[in-house]
Amino acid sequence: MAEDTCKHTWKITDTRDGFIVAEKCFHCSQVREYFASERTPPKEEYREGPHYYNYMTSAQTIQFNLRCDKCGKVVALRNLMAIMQCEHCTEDCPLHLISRTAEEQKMWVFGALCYAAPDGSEGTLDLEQLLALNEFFNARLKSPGKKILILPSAFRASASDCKAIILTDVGLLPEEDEE
Amino acid sequence: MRVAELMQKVNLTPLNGIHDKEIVGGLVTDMVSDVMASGQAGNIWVTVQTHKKVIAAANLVDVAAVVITQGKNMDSDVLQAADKAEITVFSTTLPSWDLVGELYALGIRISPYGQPA
Repeated sequence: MAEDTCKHTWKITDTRDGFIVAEKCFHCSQVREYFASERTPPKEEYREGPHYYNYMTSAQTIQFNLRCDKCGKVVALRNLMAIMQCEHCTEDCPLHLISRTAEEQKMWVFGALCYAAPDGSEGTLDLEQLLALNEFFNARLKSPGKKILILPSAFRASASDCKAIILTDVGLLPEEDEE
Repeated sequence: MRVAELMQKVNLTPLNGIHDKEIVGGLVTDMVSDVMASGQAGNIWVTVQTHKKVIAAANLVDVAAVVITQGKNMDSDVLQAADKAEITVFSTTLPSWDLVGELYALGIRISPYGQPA
């Protein structure tokens, strides 16, 4: 079937085990997160431009792509580190406001946590990636009226202050950090 | 089979309100990434994990119920989140292995996705 006319049936494919690692610059306090596919999370200090990054924490997670069972189209999600759910920690946070509003309609809002952009701002997914992710998770739902909305985590007010639940695996490896 | 019927048959202890959904297969894992990748709506999820990520992942995939094995419990704020998401949480003193044996005997099988990606 042609990709452009296909009503996609997405499945997770190309899973890759690894860690989401958080680091902080001890000069400017900038926090950044990335996915590491090493067997253990890297904890070395290093300098990058004006920043001196120090390891903060890590948790086990997976990366994946989505593949359509009907047409074979693959949407790569290598810039997606994890999915998170708003914990409503900050009253004026846009993600909190959207989540609270949507929950009244039985719509559950999740954030797609991506690599930071080169300027340090939050990374984001493009429209094709967001559509595929939303189609994948909504296609599986059975509860009447329930919907899932996945938005870029860039909607949150502050990456450093955000207390969202990040869907990572905990308590499974000896070298893991306490959360 | 629905959640309330399963509770009676396997003698599960509810930790929050009963949200009586239809059960479609089962999933046994302590990794939320497994649930995201292999879980399916309507699954009964057997785990020893008790943190809030369990409910967030269960909600994302729309599982029917979560069963915490080995007599473990969940904090009240986690159970409140489960109620809000209309997900029943049960506890059992059985280890996961024994519980899955009972679920299998009742005809509950691995979810149709149910395979590693």
